[in-house]
Amino acid sequence: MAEKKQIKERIQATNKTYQITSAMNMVSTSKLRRSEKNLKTFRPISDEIIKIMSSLLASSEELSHKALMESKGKPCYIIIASDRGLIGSYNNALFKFFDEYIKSHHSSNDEFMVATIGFKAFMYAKKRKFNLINKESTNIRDDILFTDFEEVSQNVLSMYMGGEIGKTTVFYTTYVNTLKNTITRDHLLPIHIRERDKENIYKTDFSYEPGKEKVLDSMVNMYINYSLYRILLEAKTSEHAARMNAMKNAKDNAKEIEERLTLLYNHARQNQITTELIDIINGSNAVE
Amino acid sequence: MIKITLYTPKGIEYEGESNSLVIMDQSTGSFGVLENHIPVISTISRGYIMVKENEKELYLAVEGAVFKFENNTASIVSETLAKGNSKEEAINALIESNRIRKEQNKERNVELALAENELKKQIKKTGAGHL
Repeated sequence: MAEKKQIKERIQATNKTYQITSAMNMVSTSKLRRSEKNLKTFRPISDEIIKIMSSLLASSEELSHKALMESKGKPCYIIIASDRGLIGSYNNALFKFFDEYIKSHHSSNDEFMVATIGFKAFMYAKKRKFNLINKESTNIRDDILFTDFEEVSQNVLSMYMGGEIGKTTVFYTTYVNTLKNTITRDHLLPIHIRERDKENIYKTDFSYEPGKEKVLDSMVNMYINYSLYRILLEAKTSEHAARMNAMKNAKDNAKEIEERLTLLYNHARQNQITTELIDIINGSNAVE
Repeated sequence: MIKITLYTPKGIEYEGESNSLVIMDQSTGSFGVLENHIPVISTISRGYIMVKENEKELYLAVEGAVFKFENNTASIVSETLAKGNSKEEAINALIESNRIRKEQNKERNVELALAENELKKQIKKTGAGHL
């Protein structure tokens, strides 16, 4: 009797899990579409920032900025993971990759600094006792805005210019297609304009207000912010894809388990009936 | 007439025409642009762009923005946008929306930790992992 009740409870819990996971699967699918659209809208905007930056740098050879030059500080790593779990191996694969990278490049945690975006990344960095730049978790919401992560980008930039940190690399997951995500390592600082971007510049002779140095100073800030925003959009898109797949698997598994539990339940029910029948037969035999 | 287009990460957020523009950055000051102005690029860390819509002044408060003017076409790329009928109104709306957002983010930090714990409890209940 007790066994039957337990199985019944588990069937109900599994059924609930099935319902939740299929709902989450559908939500992730629609969020993925939206995220893909956001990425598509943002690409030309971020290209424009790069183009203006390249045009400005090409306009004068004397222009220089600390963010464009190498710094001798400790290397800094920015890890971008998700806020929530239920996402398959999305976070763990990235953390494992990062662990291995650290193992092959450093012998102690004091040799580098870490900044995180995403609650899971923050918890991971805390657990590993990395030297953190952000004391609190910077979250990555579905509708991420610049305000959300400006603290991280400002801190990283000012520490880089102050010489406290050196080469800055971002570790994140990029979206290839709905079934495939890859872990990517991108350099953020020092700012390096790619050769093909150097050629793609405005031919017009612009005047810069209030002066090239001041404009460059603001452009550096914006360049970092916009680059990071683009990376975050990429990470967010792959997060939705990963969750969509994880939830699809969970949904299928829940269905399978539910079927097996139902079978188990029917067996237990049959057993109980058989026992009761035997009891009745034995009872009536005794009376006779 | 000067054609104005303002982009934020969400796409085009403002499109309009105006006779003149005033570009104001809180840290570096302001300058005006009239028709046939020479090509100019400027950045706005925090400030506004004033446009005249049918003789009515409209203030577009922006942050982390770059302003480009060429052939009587102004294109602005900004991290965020808030509109207002006066400069104070626009800038305050911008600051206020940033503040609200940051407060929301802090609340989410607590909520997340709670949600995570709840989830762990539920999974234990289903007896997952053994049949």
